[in-house]
Amino acid sequence: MSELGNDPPSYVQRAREETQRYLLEVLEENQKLRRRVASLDDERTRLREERIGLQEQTLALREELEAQLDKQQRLLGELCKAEDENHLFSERFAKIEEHNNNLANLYVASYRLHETVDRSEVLSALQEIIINLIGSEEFVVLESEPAGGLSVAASSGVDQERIAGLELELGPIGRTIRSGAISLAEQELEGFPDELLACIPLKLGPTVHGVIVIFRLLAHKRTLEPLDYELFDLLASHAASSLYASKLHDLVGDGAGIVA
Amino acid sequence: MKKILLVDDSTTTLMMEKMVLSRARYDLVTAADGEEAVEMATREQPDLILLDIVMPRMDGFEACRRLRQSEQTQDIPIIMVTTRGEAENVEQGYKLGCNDYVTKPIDSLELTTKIESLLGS
Repeated sequence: MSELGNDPPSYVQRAREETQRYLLEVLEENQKLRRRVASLDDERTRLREERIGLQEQTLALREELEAQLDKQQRLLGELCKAEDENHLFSERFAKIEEHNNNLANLYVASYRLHETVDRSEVLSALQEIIINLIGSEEFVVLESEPAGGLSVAASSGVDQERIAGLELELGPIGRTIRSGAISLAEQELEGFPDELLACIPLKLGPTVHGVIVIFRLLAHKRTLEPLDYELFDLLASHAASSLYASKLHDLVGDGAGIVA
Repeated sequence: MKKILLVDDSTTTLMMEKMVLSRARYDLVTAADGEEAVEMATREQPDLILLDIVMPRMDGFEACRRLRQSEQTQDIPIIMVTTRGEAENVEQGYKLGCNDYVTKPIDSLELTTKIESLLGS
């Protein structure tokens, strides 16, 4: 037997020490694992909270998206409405512009016919109106002669031979003079010579003093337009009174002092 | 205010153009033939010229050629106003340097649209 303290540790003692050490290590490991579990619990709680937060955010974003979609739908509706209104206003603007254009044409025609009593100027204005406002460079203005028959007051783009060949008694020219009504080729297809487009009476009250014969329109102008009929009506009365006034002025002469 | 030179020997057409364009608030000056147009354009320096073709003394084609030859007027936009709508006349106008054309009888909407397009207003 060895003495106490000097003898090497016995097997039991060593085993006990190792067991103790092992136990400490296990306890330490256990502590670590507890801490890890606690940490993971915290992490899980945090993630759960984060998930709840994200779910709430998703919900809010979804609601916002729906609101935006509603807003987009509403704006699209408003845009369609605005486009319809714009289209309506454009159409209205075009109509007003056309109306203004027509009024301007009629005003200019009337003004030009009545701004002078000089016969050559009246005839010149009449020709300009037919060329520039109606759009014809082939026409003749015929006036009734006191002794009967018709004479050429003005013409454009029509030679003497063609004028001489016109049927004055029968046909649309004679009919216009007798009835005092405008004759249009498009309304009277039968019996209307091919080369004529319109016959406009020069009327002073019920009396017809002549007729404007329009042969054809300018090449780029296909058909008569609503404004042309208005201009025909205006010419029927205003051109007649203007020509009549210019004739009277020629008869009376400048010396009468009526017109400066 | 933009200035437009209206060139036409027809008083009726000039009146019509004035009525249409004065509503659009343009400053308008007029000339009765091509020769006067070239003088006026040089002196007045308009922003645009509305040029008739058939005129006494000097027609619109010759006036257009002279306007394009002069350094003072070569950049002024020119719209030809014509009763001749045929392609060859329009083509001749473009060859001489006009920017656009309108036919008589004048359509106010067409005229103002073309002017606005050239003046960028």
